[in-house]
Amino acid sequence: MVGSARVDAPADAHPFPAAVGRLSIWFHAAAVLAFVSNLILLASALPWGARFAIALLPVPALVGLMVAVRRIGPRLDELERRIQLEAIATAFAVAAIAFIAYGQFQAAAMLGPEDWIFPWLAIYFGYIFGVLSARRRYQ
Amino acid sequence: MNNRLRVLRAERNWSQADLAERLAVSRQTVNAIETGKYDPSLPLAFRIARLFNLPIEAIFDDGHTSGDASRNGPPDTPPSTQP
Repeated sequence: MVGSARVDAPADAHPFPAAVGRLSIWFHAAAVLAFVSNLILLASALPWGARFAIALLPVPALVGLMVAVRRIGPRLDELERRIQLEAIATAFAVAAIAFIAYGQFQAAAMLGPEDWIFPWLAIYFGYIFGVLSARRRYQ
Repeated sequence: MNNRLRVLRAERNWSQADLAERLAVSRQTVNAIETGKYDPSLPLAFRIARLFNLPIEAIFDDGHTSGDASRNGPPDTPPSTQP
């Protein structure tokens, strides 16, 4: 704790990015649910309604991720907000490339629907790379 | 953008963590501003100026001096109209 001199900083400023961990929980929940959903859909023949519900299994976690981003973003320290924005931009670019490549490999019959994990991994590592490179730039 | 944040902080014997706490930002943010790798937002620049009781331009320098008013700024008085 420091002395009396202090300026009227925002009361809800979040200096440390602990809240970012909550985003990670939602992302991993979505990834796990997508994995489980795909396993079920590939392994069993279910009626249309059940297939529809199981296919949408990861969606609630993705909505949770979106809501968490909306809530946490404005409360982050401003440098951390910049780092996260750059990381998401990097992940988006990597994801776009990964999904186009995945689609092309599917068209070439070199990958099938069961190989859906590759674009997800690209998003994951694209985000991690984005965070690390942005942190290094501002270090 | 150059700035005098490190000097001003050192004059008060504050650590980066002390200054970060006073500004409600992370120590990494203070370090990035001091090393010139990150330019603060306008609200944060105002908070820094208020904390040190100085005008913003006394802390941050974008390399453009404002001394030559005849070249850079509008004249203080309109030109006189001669009959």
